[in-house]
Amino acid sequence: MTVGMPLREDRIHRYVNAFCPHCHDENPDMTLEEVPRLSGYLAEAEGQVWLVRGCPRHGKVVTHYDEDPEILSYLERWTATTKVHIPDTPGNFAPVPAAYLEGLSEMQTQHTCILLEDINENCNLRCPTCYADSMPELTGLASVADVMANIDQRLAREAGRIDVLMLSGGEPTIHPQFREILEGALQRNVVRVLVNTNGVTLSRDDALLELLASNRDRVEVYLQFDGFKKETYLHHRAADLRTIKERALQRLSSAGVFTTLTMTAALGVNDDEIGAVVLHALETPFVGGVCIQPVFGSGRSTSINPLERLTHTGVLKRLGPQTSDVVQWDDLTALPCSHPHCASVGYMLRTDAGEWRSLVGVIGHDRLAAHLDLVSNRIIDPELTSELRELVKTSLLGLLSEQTSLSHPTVLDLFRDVCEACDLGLSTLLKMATGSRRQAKAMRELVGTRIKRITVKPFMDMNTMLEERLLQCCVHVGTKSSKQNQCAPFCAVQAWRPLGDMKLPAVTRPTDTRTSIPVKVGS
Amino acid sequence: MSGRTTPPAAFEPSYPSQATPFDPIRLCVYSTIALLAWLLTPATVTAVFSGVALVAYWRARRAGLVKSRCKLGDTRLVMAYLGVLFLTGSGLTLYRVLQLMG
Repeated sequence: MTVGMPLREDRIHRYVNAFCPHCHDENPDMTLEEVPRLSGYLAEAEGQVWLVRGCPRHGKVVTHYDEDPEILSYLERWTATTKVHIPDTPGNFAPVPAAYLEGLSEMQTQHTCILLEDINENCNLRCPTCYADSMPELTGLASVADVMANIDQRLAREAGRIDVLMLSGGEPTIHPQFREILEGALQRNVVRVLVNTNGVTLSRDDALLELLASNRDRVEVYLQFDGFKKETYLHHRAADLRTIKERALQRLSSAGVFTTLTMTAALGVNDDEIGAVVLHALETPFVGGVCIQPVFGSGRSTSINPLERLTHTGVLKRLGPQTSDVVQWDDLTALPCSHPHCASVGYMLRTDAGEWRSLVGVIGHDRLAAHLDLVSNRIIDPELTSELRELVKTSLLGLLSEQTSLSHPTVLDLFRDVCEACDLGLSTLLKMATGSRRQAKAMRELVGTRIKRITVKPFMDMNTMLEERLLQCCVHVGTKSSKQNQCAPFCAVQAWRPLGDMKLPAVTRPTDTRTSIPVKVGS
Repeated sequence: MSGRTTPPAAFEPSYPSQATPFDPIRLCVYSTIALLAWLLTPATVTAVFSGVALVAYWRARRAGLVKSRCKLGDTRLVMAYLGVLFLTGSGLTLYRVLQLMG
């Protein structure tokens, strides 16, 4: 007698649409209409999460997706209603990724939280790890007018306001019109401008530092900072940049410019330094926090093993052991506005007693989850009312003082604003908490030394790319077609060359050089 | 690149591939049973049914059934009757098998 079919050895986590990394490697120049969308699923096996998809040419293709199923399920709990978007091309119902050739499609389900403008292709470093494939020889340069036109197009499609504008490249600070671009952005209704930099110029250029410092109420710096070991920098940057990084950081800190340490982390290279970088952020004034990005294989990168890599949940579970439990994985939640696999965020607050506590720990997970449901459907006035300022100020002071109960109900409103504004920067928090110029300095000091934001941002390459994450992506790169200014999800632009060729600096290059740069995908 | 080189074994195919034709083995089994029944009945049928009935009556008596609706009445008499049938059927089946083999 037979006993029927045996049970599967894996456990299905969720069903997804994905793409084939082998097809992508074999023909990186294929048109986006030819890219096959594949049926697949995420499955648990051997205590990890795997992405399995069926390719008509390569059969079952299995790649490593995440290191901890339990933490991944925890992240999936944090969801909220997304915001309406206006498609770049009405009636664009083409499938992913071809849809993005005409900008955000009708089927996108999230607006632009962060608009990333690549303003140049050239760089003063030649890093072995660079998703943008930048190098000193590249000549693509977006003009001030090009960048402003793209920003204005986005403003028109975002009801007149952009929450976060990130200037990137290449190395944006070596763009000859960087000052004009920054000032142009600040003249517009952009809540916060982030400058994505390697810090080389900042470590020695006083005029640049002064430019950033004079606009520090709305400008923050994302400083590439990979760790403290010489080997780490040799691996990722092909040079020992430790002194330069530390000097740039100290100069920014002294100038009171909120800075986020952006760490590219790779398994077996610097995944053991995650805790050290987090603790360094906690200790350094005006370092607003740290953003840890597991290395991904788009653009130029040293080989990434698609079957064993550092992942989102892998970073989270290293936090506790590497920080002596100062920060633990459940001090962070998924960023509710994006897909829960795409970003996690946590705010750490230092009490009068010098103890670091997480915002989510203060509020409580269950209470916060319940509150999230409450606020997700709520419409608030985008303008900050005086009452709201007072509320947030009270919340912050309450959080930071032992005299006030940390579980005060108004603390919830602080987190509401974190959700509504898609991950508040500290400068925004400060603006909200400051009622008058007289209070500004004291509050700035308070926020700069006692509130830190920790984020984990796992970008996708073809080994981890999911259609649903692209559709809910809210980090969009400014692109330009022959018809219009538009934008597309960050990971799609880095992974598919026809989209990368639509970045603003790339369209200024002669057409015949756009697809001639060697790209090595780590798989 | 270093480290793991193959996915978990859980993802290796462990099922008949779509390319393998359907195996109608059940029909072969049914045919063989029919052949055996043809060669061995009616003694085998008697042995099988009387054996099943014997076990059933044994359980029923242990559960307290003293009198059956069977013409023989007393369940001990019924079991004796079934025992005779079983021994006869089994014996004749064994004889038939030996005959076929020899």
